[in-house]
Amino acid sequence: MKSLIIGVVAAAFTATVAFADSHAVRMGTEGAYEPYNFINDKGEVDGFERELGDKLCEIAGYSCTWVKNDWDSIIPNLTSGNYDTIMAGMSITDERKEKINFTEAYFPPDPSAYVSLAGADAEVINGNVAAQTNTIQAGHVSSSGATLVEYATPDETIAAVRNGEADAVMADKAYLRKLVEESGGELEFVGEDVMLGTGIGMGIRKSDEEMLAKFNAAIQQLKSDGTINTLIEKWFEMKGPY
Amino acid sequence: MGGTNRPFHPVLMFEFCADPKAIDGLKWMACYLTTPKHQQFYFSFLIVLALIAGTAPLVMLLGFCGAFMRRSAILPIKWLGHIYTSMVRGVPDIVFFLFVPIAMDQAFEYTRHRILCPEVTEPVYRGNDFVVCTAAKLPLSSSPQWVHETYGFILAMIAFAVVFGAFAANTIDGALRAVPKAQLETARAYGMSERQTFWRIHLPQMWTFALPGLSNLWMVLVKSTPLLFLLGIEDIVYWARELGGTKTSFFEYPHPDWRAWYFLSLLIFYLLLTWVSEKAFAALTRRVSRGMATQGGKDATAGNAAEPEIAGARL
Amino acid sequence: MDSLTISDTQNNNNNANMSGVPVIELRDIHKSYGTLKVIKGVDLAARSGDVIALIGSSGSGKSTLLRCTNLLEIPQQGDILIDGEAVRWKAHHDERQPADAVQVRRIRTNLSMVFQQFNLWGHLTILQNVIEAPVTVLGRDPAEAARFGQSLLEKVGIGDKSDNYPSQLSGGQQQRAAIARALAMEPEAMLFDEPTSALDPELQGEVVQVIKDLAIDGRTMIIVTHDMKMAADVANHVIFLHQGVIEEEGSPDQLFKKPKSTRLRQFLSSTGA
Repeated sequence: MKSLIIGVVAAAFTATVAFADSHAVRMGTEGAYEPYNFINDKGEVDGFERELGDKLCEIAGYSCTWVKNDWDSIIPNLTSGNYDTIMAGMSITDERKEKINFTEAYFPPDPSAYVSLAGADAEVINGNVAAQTNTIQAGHVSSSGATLVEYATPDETIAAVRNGEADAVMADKAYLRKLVEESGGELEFVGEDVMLGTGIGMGIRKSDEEMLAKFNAAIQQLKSDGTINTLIEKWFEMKGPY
Repeated sequence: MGGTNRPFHPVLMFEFCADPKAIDGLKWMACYLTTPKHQQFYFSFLIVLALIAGTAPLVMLLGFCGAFMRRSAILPIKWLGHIYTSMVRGVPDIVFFLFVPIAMDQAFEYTRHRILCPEVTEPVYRGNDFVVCTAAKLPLSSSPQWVHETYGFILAMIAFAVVFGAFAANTIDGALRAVPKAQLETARAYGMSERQTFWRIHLPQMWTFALPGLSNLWMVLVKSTPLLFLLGIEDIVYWARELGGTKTSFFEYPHPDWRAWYFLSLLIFYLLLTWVSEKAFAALTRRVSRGMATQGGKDATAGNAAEPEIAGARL
Repeated sequence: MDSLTISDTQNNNNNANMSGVPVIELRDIHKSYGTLKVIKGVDLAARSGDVIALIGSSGSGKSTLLRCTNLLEIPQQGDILIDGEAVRWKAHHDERQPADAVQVRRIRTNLSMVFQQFNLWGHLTILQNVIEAPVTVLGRDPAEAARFGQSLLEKVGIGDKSDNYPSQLSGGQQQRAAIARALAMEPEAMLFDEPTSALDPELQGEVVQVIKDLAIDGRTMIIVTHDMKMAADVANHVIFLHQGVIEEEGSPDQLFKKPKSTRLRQFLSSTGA
């Protein structure tokens, strides 16, 4: 143990400074919320945010690597410096803004929706409703008077509806759309769509003001030249507003 | 700590896998099960085995250190030994597993920051943020992902070793006490030094009493490896959950919720691992207790006495 | 059982000590545990070839006195001389301790002890038990030590048990193995701490026989025992301890046939001797 600690410590302090590169940026994402971000069959981070993020990095002059992190600890691990940004379909909310900064939205406020088993009563949205922990949907469900059932991953919220643990699931409509379409009629949208949040932005540590400015500039550029709209059309099969 | 570029090279297993949409049945399954993503899943089994194999010697080392500290004649060392073992044993594992890597990581980075970037005057802790200069990052942001993952893995290994070492210390201490005093006194009466008495008599006889507890600890260690997942390491649980989840046509190989099958494979993996471990420990026990096992009820009960402290004490 | 004869080369107790210096000499030994005084000023001298029997009721201090001889117990007061060499002491808190660990180990290798409970090392075979200390402590060649150890096992009548573990032997066999282990050290003197007390009566005879043979051989021995018959048969000097002091001592004939003190008479009648 002792020699290992010494080894680790030695490695920790001799790791050469020469490669220290202020342009290296680590992009944190969840990798479980298609089409925003997911792990493709090659085992790589893929999706709208991967494609957009790479373009943003290029414009901002960063060399970026993608890092997966659990949704639940994605903000703490940003502030403790495991990675430098969050691009994980994260809605800009006041509560999150207390801990981290957001760039301006790169994705507009999008409807959230309820999904339940086909043929269910519309009342299910007031029953047991599944949502991912620490999401705006979870916040909405618990304030709507329904019983919130929380899960660590988006996939588990869907599975909960399938196996009857929950009556309905609430999530971003863009995430739910394909799941419903390809469920072979098992799943259905239920109730009205709800507009939540003020769009999706990139999370950045409060102390990284320079990075925030650079990414904001990059987002503005991609909005004005239509790139973001193209990407939204590609990944979400809908028209972008920018 | 997760990432995408692993220190191994995925290969396209079969030619016909080039277009997954065009194949079905067994071919589809063969291609599906050999995607680079699945290869990462299979690789993660090795990570679990590496964790166990790497942690076990550290656990024994810490176990012996802890046991010797507790037996030390020097009071502060003795206290330190007791504090270590009782604190780790008393605090829920999960707290230690989460605390140790973060604390070590921040301690390293903080120290590097102070040494490498003396010119930075802003505080390291700014509000929620833990900010060290670019050069002090560990690993550096520019390091390849596998360096980050190895670093995380080592921190996890240390966390495991710290926790399990405390239990091992307890078992070893108990086993050392369980060796009859007369056996050691006889060694001294025949002119053996303390060192000789320990290596020739005390240690060899200790194993009989330590093995039941240590084998228990090993089993718990094996079963605890899914905690790696909580430490942000992409272990078999992460991949089983990720691969098993419903896959829409965003993916090349869409499929419904197959998590049950993936977790079944983990179940079989862990059962096999425990089965092999049990066989190995049975053989080991036979070996170390040659001559001792038949010494009668006295030794048998003493051997078991070291066990209940460990059994069921965890998770 | 075969009669026991030890060849001259192995028997080293007839050389240096013919000068008259006792092999073991205890002077004014005091030993207490806390406030309990167990030994209150005992003198003892064993010259080469002496066989001294220490008798007395339980709690008389006879085992403690024996254990002071090879420093398994540390007497608070008094001198211990082995071959005329006094044990050196140093202060340790309120008590004293031997000052020289090397001296202690040297003394112990010269005074092999045989324990009431045999104390064979459980993880070693009988032969390994016999050669363990000669090899690790005395630095003997293992093959050489094994040959000598095997011959000792033959002499105590358990040559066929050398590869067995102690737990596979009867009590009498274990004690004979323990005696072989003691002999393997080629000690100047042997200390027996109630060697037959843990044995069933029918197994005591075989051990007593071995000890008798050693006495005939001229071994220097101190034997703590409850077995008055053995004491009478093998000892040339008997010491009766009572409450930590020597109540009476002398030849076996004197003590067993014409005991002077009332306490010894009482003790002897209580043991049925």
